[in-house]
Amino acid sequence: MQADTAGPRKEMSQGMLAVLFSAPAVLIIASTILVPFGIAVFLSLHRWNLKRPGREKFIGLENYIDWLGDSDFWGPLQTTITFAIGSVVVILVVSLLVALLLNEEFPGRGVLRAMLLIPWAIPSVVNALLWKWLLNPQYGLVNAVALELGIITEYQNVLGSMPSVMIWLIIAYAWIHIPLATLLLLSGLQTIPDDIYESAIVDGAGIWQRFAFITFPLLRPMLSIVIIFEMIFALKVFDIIFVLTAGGPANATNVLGWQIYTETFRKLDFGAGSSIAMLLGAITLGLAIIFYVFLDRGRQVE
Amino acid sequence: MLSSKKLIVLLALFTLLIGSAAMAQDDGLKLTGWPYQVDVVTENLGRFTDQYGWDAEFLPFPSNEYRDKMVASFVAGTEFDVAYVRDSYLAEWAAAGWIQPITGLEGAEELLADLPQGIIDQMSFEGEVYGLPYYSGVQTLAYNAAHLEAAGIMSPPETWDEMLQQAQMIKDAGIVEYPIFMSVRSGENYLLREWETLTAARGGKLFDDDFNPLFQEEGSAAWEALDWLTTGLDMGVIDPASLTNDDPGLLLAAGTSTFQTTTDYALKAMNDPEQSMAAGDIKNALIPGTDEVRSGTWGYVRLYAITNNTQDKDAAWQLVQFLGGKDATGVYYVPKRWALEFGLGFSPAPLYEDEEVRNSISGWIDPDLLSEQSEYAISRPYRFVPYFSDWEIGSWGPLQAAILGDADKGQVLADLAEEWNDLREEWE
Repeated sequence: MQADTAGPRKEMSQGMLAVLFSAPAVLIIASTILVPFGIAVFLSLHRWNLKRPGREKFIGLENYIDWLGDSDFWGPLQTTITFAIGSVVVILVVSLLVALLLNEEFPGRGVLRAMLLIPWAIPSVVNALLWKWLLNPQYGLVNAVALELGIITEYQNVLGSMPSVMIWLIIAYAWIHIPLATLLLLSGLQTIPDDIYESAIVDGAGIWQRFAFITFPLLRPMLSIVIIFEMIFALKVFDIIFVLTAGGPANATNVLGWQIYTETFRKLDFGAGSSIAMLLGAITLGLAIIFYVFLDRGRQVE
Repeated sequence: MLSSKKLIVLLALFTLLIGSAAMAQDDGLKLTGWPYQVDVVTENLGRFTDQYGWDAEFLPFPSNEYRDKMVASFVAGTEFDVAYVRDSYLAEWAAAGWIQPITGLEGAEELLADLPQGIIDQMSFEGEVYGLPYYSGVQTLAYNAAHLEAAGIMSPPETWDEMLQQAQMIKDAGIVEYPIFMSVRSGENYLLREWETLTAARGGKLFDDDFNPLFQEEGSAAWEALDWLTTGLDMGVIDPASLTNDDPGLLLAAGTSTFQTTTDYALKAMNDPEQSMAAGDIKNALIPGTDEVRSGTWGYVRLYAITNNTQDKDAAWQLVQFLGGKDATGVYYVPKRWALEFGLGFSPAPLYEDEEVRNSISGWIDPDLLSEQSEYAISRPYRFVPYFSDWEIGSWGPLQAAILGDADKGQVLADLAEEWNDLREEWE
């Protein structure tokens, strides 16, 4: 009897230990994510403008309904999606090419892999300031090089008009996000056994055939993860907009992240700002779920 | 068991944590503002400590983000005692109860008696005065005289059309690619202010005295101002970076720009050989007008105010008096220092009589022209309603679109007028 009762008691104490060990993490997550999230939900259901203290009022879903009928939501949403799609495509294509290159054996591969991490190590605001200098219309390096190469005849203000502002914003954003995507894809490439390629070569498969029928299908789960990650990051973009364009010119780069900032910290309307933040969160979560379902379906087929 | 090395590292980290927390508990006065000449501000605070015995430190935020950072600080309850305030958001901060009036405080009446009524009005909200001036001045025209001379131009432009013609001559002569820079970037210190300058210099205003919008009326000065910007950009004489650049003064200092409207004190740095390649060439002139209107401009004031979060209002008021008024020896020490060393505009009447100040100014700006420019200054009372900033923020994108020709000007201006009226109705 003693042996029977000793077992469950030991399991209980292990369970308690697990709870105790995870409690600090749970507390931190609760205080830094769940509490702010709850406050944001609360604010989004209220009229809450800091410039009008004492006039806070519960208004239910009115903020949400107002946004859904407002061009100040749909315009930035369109800009956000344009930016996100452009960014993800650039990041995916470049990081895939770099990962394929770094997966090959060649002298200096280790150094190149280490160098790849440099952009990733730079804080995103510093990255934005770097690009602000590079693209400066009076003394920017990009203008100087383009002029020397004869691509342009005079310095250009690429951040001053569409579509060049969006193109350069995507390039500047992609530059710092490519390393993470490359590392993920590289780790995916290294899980593909060499003997599959060797068999394909014996069967006479060329480079393109090996990529299309071996690399790509086996890399698809990792590609899906990269797409999900990068899409979520891009939908939430803010810092690079803040430094490079401030949503301009003429609202051309006014993404939802910037609109949230404008409503909340410039107009001081925390109710409106929180509700649009919730809408962005819902859109991001929805897209993540859709991608996840596709990923899961792909796995099941395999 | 922890090894002794790990234990030492942990103890060191713990000590650092406790130490930094203790440092953060410093109970001196805290002044916040934008980071202009931080060393000088710190020196001034040192003098304040010597004279009054209170410790004081300066904790600035970046200029372009100052309002946003301060709002976050106010909401979070950060205990700043004294803050710089721009007149453009004085009403907003006063209405929200983030800053305190100085009306009635001991010594306030005497200091206010030295100030012009116009400055007091610009520091007031609903009948209460909210601080003492840090600096004040007017917007004026700065131009590179060497560029004009090289292009064979005898005198700076008197009308906006003439400015376009001169700019074309300078461009054609290969002196500068884009002779005119107009600050029409998104942001609180840029587009609206430039539009107000261009409008005032055509004899107009954005709003009438009852705060009704005027800009949407076809043929209005404000409408023509936007047309002029579009024309200049299309001609290639206005720098397209006007829409994005946040530090145009550097262009004049580098000699790559000929005409800019600017704050009066900026000319001191532009004519300082250590800061400017065009030192000595940058002159001030009246902001151009039209055939009927000679010029137009607006004045501004930056002030020191006591925040509502201060734990020691008496000490904070003492600091405001020291910074914006007189020190313990009874002289306007800080305002005079700003005027002498950095050319910042001042308001107290006794400084106008100060020979040292008068001689200093004439070294980098024509004081007679500056004085004449200030006579053309218009008041902008519409900026002192708490919903102005909401309207202004929403105006940047549409106005840029109208200037670039990406949107119909009439429609943009009509929409902005409607937006103003909606906000006004909501607030009133």
